[in-house]
Amino acid sequence: MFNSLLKIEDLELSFKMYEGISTVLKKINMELNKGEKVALVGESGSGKSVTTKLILGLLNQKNVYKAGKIIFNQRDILNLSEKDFKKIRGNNISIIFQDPTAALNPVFKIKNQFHEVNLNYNNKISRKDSYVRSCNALEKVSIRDPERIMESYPFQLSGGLAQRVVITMAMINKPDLLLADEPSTALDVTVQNQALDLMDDLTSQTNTAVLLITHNMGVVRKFAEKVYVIYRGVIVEEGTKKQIFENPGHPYTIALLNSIPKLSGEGLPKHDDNPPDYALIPKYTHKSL
Amino acid sequence: MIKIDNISKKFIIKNNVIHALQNINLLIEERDCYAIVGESGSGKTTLANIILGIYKQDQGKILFHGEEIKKYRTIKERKLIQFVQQNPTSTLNPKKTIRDTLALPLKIHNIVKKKNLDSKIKELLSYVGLDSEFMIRYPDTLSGGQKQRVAIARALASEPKVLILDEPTSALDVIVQAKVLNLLLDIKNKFNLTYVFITHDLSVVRNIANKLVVMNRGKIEEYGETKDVFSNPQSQYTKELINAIPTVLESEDKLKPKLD
Repeated sequence: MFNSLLKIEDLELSFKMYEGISTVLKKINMELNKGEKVALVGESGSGKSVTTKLILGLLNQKNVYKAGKIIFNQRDILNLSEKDFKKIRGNNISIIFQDPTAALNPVFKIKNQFHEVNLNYNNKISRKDSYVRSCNALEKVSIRDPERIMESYPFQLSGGLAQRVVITMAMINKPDLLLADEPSTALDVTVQNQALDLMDDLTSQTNTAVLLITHNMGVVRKFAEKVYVIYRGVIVEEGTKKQIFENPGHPYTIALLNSIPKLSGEGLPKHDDNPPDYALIPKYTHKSL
Repeated sequence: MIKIDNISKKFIIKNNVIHALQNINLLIEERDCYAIVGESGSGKTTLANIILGIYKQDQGKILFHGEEIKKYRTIKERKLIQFVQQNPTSTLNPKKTIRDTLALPLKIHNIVKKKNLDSKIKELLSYVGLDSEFMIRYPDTLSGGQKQRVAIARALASEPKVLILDEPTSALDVIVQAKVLNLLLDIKNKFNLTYVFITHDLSVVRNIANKLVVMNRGKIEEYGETKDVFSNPQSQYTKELINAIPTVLESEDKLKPKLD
């Protein structure tokens, strides 16, 4: 257990709404070790993004009901106060969102946004030190002219470049855990590949664990070591990448893999018009290696 | 069917001139499915917008059945070339029921008499696999896949010959995407349509299109039969593009071209 970084135990989440109570997560169990790259795969509405929000402590509204445990570094953070969470966010846990241009504030230059992240690292850092620290980090991700980037506003950067900046920002304080919520969905295939390579590279250097949220199985295969498949708030299958892709056990995982058009050009994927309720089929767990 | 003859288009933003399209020549033949692929900013959507008459080209002309399309489309040309956009949530009017959304093109193009309007709308909905009870519903009560089906039904309403599909499935989940793609293929065969399929998802292209146009920085980089381009890509850019596709099977990895 020494190696365990994040452990989610029987996590439940529901929203109280006008129409009644909507249950989003139903007793989820997950585990991430230090430096491990884990993917959480599912379609829209399956509860994958709210899981990251819970880990970051961003769901504190009155109509939210939550139960279970999120143990991060041997400490339950599910019901932590906002003040304590501020110490964790950005330092120990950081996040990359789907749309890089929306994640950056359009009215501040990149250097000012970097400064704010650097203040998290050292709250007495001077503007000058902060500038140098950020430039060094940008140089490391093979951005050749960091000064130009630092003086730019987010809308002056291309999508790929903006995502590079966001990834750099998320990694500059060497967090223990990086949450990546669909980090490459808004990008083109070639740029997507570069962004994933960059994330892989940076997290390996600092031994940061990654929880990758995505619906793209191709991205999972490229990036992750361990995979959780989620369907309507239930984890339906977990296993290593090899197990999931070579020997998928749960009907939903099989349907997910089959629905992806293949490069071999054997025609469009077949689909089931009346699929069973996958959530009722018990979870499939592969033998641990 | 559609001949694109030496089209160029540039945008001027402040003092920068952006050449969105440079001397594009393309012949779109009947009943084919053309895929236009390329990364953002390669000019694929600009090309679609010029075919549709949303933008006016700076140079060159577009011929439809041998006749030049003028600056302002005639109603007949608009009837025959229809459009399905990327995000169904933003293309359906949230204040109109599905019935009103589908009735509009039927009225404009005088497809049916007023008393047959409802039965025609039911027919359109049945083409895309939706129940007639959807007529009274509003877009926000529909899922993403259902909205995209309504958008396809609306495009079919005017009985077009050409459908321009601008990333029709990229806002959808893979399982829903598979359903919508199958639907599009069925409709194409049923109504003898010609498709211009704009996308950056190459694995979709491999399975639906028979002609492939690769665009890069406003120019056509490569053009040919889809299976030939995939098995033997000529330009470096196409090779990189095919190589970058995220795949799920090991057998697919072997099909990727080797990079120099």
